Amino acid sequence: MTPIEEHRKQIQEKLSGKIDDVQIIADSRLEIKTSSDNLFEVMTFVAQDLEFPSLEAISGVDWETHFDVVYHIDRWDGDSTVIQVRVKLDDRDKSQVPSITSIWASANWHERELYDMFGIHVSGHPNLKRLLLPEDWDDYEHKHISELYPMRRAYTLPEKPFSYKPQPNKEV
Amino acid sequence: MSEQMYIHMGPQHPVNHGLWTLKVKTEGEQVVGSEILIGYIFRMIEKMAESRPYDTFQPLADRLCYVSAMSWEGTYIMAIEKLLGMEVSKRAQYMRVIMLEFQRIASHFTWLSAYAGDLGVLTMLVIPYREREYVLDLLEHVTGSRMMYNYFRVGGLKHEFPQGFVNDARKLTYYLDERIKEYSAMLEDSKVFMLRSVEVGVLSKENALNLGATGPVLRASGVQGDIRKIEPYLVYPELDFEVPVRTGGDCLARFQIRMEEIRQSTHIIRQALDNLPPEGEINQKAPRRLPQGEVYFRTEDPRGEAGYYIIGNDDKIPYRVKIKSPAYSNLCLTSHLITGGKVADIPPIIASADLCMGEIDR
Repeated sequence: MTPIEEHRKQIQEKLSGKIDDVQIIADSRLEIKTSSDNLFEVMTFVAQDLEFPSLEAISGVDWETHFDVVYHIDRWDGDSTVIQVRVKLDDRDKSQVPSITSIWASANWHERELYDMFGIHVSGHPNLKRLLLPEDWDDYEHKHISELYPMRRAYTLPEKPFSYKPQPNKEV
Repeated sequence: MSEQMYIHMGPQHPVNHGLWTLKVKTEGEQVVGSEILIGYIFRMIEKMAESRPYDTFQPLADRLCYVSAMSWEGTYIMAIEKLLGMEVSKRAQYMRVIMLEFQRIASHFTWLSAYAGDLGVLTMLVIPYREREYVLDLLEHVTGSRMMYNYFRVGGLKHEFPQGFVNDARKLTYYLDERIKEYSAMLEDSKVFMLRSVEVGVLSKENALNLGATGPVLRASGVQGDIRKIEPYLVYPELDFEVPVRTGGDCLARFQIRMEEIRQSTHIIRQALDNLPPEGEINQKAPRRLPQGEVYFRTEDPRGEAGYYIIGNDDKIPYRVKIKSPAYSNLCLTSHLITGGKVADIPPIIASADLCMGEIDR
């Protein structure tokens, strides 16, 4: 049994009920589908029992009807398996995932970026504020709500370059 | 207890090597807290990738990092090929390896110059640039551009190597090998250099993994983490090379890893030049549309693990492109490294992480 099949077997045995699906989607790519309620428990299992020590990336995907949050977790030490955890968030207005910074410290910036770009709230994050956009971005004059979160699909690139000006009478 | 003071370093500070702000909270000479602010050159490159046909994004991928453009366009192209299920010819693969390894050398030279300069060894601020220029000359001869190459294509490469390239390249690798010896001697015999490198910014193995370090920073902390070995791409399995690993975890270990990597790169290039197949299609036709599906593809960038997470939706425009930058995680962890140290240790620690703001802000 290859390492990736072993991981899958362990996940199937130990996490049944917590996950929706687990399958090998490509060479050394294992996908787990779960809900945001069970995410923290699944991640704890992946980090501690399966010994995946390093989080690579957190990506948001806007499917217009719902959001996906995709986590890529790495093993190193000769095992090329990357676990891809996918969380589906149905409620667009109140989308929320739990913070996993207590498991992987590197999640800190990735989660801030997720909030910054998609407006997905990360509950329990130690310092959830804008990362790449200015901290007072919400106070700027916006034509449309989608401009608050530029990686959403509703936000399209403008025809010509534009500049935002802070509102008058506001201390910046 | 002495008074606490806040120091702002940046966005324009000589040790930052790019636009970002480091807020340091100090107690006398001791750093007790720090915060990093980024986003000064945020260009929404991911959104640009999601708004245009997949093959027209590649020149923008070059702009992710101005010192290793080749590796970023290469990673993007290889990720797209993986999604399309394309296989390029052996000759194109060998040519890609040669270009990527020359890029790694040029990138490490830039780093070395910045690092030695920050440490006060100002002679070494200019010397690596001289050698880097030879490498860039060679890359310019092939691609027509010094820094933004736009040379990779989905299905191969833009065009063949120019005449006489193989000889020039081989000569250059021997020349570089000689030079590296000189660098190591100049730096490791320098008292200033050693005082400011040894046991400065020590990163343990557990912390390195937990904080998401990749590349030379991770290998300096004792983890055998090189994508070229763990999950090989191109023809790396056919080439003989070693992955240097150190257990010190300090700035000196990161320096030694990069020096050794330059030696390994010249070794790889010579083998690739020897084995370069004389024949082979180097620019195949590629389909217009990306199929339904997704791919997470990663390569070993000079800075660490570069990754693209691409979702195709049966369209010529990719539905989602996420860029995983190694320098992003490495910058995040410098905040952890400088806390608890001395103010004077900040420049070596920042420089040893090898930052590139282009790929951090994206």
